[in-house]
Amino acid sequence: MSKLRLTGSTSGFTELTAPAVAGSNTLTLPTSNGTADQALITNGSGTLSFANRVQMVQGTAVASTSGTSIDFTGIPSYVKRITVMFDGVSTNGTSIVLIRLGTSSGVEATGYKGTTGDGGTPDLYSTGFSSSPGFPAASIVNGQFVISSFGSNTWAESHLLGRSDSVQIMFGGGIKTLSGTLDRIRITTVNGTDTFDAGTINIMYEG
Amino acid sequence: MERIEVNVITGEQKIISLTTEEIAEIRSRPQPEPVPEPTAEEKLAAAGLTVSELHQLLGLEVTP
Repeated sequence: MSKLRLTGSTSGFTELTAPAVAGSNTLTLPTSNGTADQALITNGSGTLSFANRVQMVQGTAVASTSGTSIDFTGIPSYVKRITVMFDGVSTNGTSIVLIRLGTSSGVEATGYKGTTGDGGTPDLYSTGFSSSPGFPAASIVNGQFVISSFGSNTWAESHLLGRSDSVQIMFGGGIKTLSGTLDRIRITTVNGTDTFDAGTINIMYEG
Repeated sequence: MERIEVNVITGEQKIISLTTEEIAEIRSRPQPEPVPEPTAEEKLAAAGLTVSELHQLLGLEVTP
């Protein structure tokens, strides 16, 4: 038999067909239905199982024209890398823009280890992934932060940003170990009171 | 003060007023000194140029 046809109870059918030169292959189905968005994979010997697909999900751009912070929540636990993109982002003050990571218990404001620079004297940071040692008034910032899973709730960061109102690049890198599974990020400022007043921010996540 | 919150799964956006505890925490942070805008000389140095090199590039004669 080269095909197995399962007839629908009302109409139509589903058919499994063997290749013309079929070889001798046995495919063993998984013992469960898997979870949403999983795909069937093989162990190379014909045993099939469900596994998470590598997905790259583009978020919806958010206008960074108000608020003292912008949170992206509900980040799935399978995510291994997050890219935070700035397009013309500005605030109404001079407090440094930074990114903080969080869990279902909240956003964490300590334990970040790294350095950021802008061509002048670089600066250590500890209260967030800091964009720059300084944030001159009226800075309009473009570029991205890339935040990658190191394993065991530890996340590494690198960023490269450029101002479009003046000649200045911002760059840096660091690491942060969270108390639990990452499910949110926050874009805010060191002082927490400066307000975003221009631009858009988006994220892309994958895993 | 307000926070914008975006759920990446549903796309829902909310504007949330900060709680009194959150505002108190923010107000308790040390406020850094404002960072001055870089001078023209600092911008030149960041680009790897000296003033004399810029003059030469622009074909300007400099009187000592």
